[in-house]
Amino acid sequence: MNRIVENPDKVRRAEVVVGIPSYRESDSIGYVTGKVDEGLVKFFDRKDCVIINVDNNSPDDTKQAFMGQKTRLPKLYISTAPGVKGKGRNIRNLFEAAVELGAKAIVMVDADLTSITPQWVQFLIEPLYMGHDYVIPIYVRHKYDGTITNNIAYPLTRVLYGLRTRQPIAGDFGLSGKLARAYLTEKTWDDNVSEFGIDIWMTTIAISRGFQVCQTFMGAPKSHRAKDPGAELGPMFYQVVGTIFSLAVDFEYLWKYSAESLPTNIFGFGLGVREEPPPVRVDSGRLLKSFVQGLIKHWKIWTRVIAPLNLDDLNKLQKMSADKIKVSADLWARILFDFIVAYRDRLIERSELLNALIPIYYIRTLAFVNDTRDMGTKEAEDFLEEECRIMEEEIYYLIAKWNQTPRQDGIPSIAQYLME
Amino acid sequence: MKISTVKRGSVCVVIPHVNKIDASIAVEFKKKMIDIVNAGESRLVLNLQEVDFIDSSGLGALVSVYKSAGPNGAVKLFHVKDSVRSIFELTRLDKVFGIHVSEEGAVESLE
Repeated sequence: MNRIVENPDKVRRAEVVVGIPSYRESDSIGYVTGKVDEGLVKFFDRKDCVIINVDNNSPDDTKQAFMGQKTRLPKLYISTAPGVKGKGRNIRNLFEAAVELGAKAIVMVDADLTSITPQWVQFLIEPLYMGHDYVIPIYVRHKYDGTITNNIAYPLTRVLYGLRTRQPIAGDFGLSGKLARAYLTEKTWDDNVSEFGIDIWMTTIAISRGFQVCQTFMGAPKSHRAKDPGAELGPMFYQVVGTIFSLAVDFEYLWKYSAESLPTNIFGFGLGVREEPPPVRVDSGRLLKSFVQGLIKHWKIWTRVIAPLNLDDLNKLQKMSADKIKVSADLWARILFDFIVAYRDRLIERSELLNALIPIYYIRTLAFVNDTRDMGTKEAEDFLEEECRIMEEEIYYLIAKWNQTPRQDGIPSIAQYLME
Repeated sequence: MKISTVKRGSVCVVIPHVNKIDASIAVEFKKKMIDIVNAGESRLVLNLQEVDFIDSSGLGALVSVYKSAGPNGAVKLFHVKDSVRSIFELTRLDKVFGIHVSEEGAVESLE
């Protein structure tokens, strides 16, 4: 892959690499770079460290903001070729650079963080020196921040791979050099992974390939550019969800036989965080409107994809007022499983299929907002844990449907096999 | 679809008169079964002697009934054909619904 490299400090080796993926982050990357530098100097001053901005050739002043930030440690700028975009492509450049530099510990942090502290670098790196290969942060988030995480990425990672990793698409991770090399040779890389599918791909690969995974307390709530969950999702939704579904197809041999989920090792402890995360506003009316519009637009697809048992329950929702909407965790799980099987069989063109899921995701988000309206952060978290447990119980539905639906990819299902 | 019921003490024995419980009848099956639960029968024993096939939707309907029965309720199965038993075993639902050989065994397990 062509890339643009600026290495004014002529860095040739580094034991610790911190990467900051970016696209148009000129207003925030300097702050993040400064905190990363502080953290590396304070906690890892005896190690060779480098900070790398992996960028998509941003047309704003991202590069200048990064390179111009005063730091004590060397910096490296790597960009994809002009016109080539995607967070995953940036991160692949980071993996390649880290492997070339001989890195043992690699960390990546989002460029739009406003809550990053120097200790975040410490918390993400230290577990790597204690034998872990992949470090996922735990931080307090507002109950309505990260709705793709809460409704899809977290529960499905639990259900499918049996490991409870609370922020599987956090954007801030630590990984070993060994895992970076494994990522570069992994066969499941695709176009969605090259973009926003990268985070869930990294987490899933780390779990499914048997690397040592842990979570680490970050000590401060995550604060970044949070969005109204009802706002335009754009390609992020289908890149993330498409990656989850693709990997579910690739790794069926894992989830078919996984038992109840297990907690992931946790590094550190809660640190008594009392700081509240910044609020996230939700426009309930817009979520309901998007669902009703989606019902009209995607009804034909829904009738092909969603089992009548589930569609019947879903259809009842359109007559309810926004504040009364309930979408139970078991119904939501079965609908996701209907979509996974349809995705496997390419029943509908895949991007169209994923677009048809978005209105149902909106109504599930609205239901979560209703269920947790009067709850604080901790109560909402406990509620979500119970919802995920209920979703885990529905795995029977996916297993049965997966086996009983004739496959379109030439691989006979168990039912077909038994009939022949 | 027709469902008949017989009382055995505090247990309600339910016989679905269908040879398959699949997507095409799952909605109706679930509704009729939940009507039975709502009528006060939360300890159910299902006689599946006529059922040759059950799919994911049928299982979903049964699990919904199981949940509707509440924490003091129960759903047990008996006269389960091999073709049906295999899907319960594959999905590990055989551990949720006890599968019994006879009606007596299923009823006794709830008394």
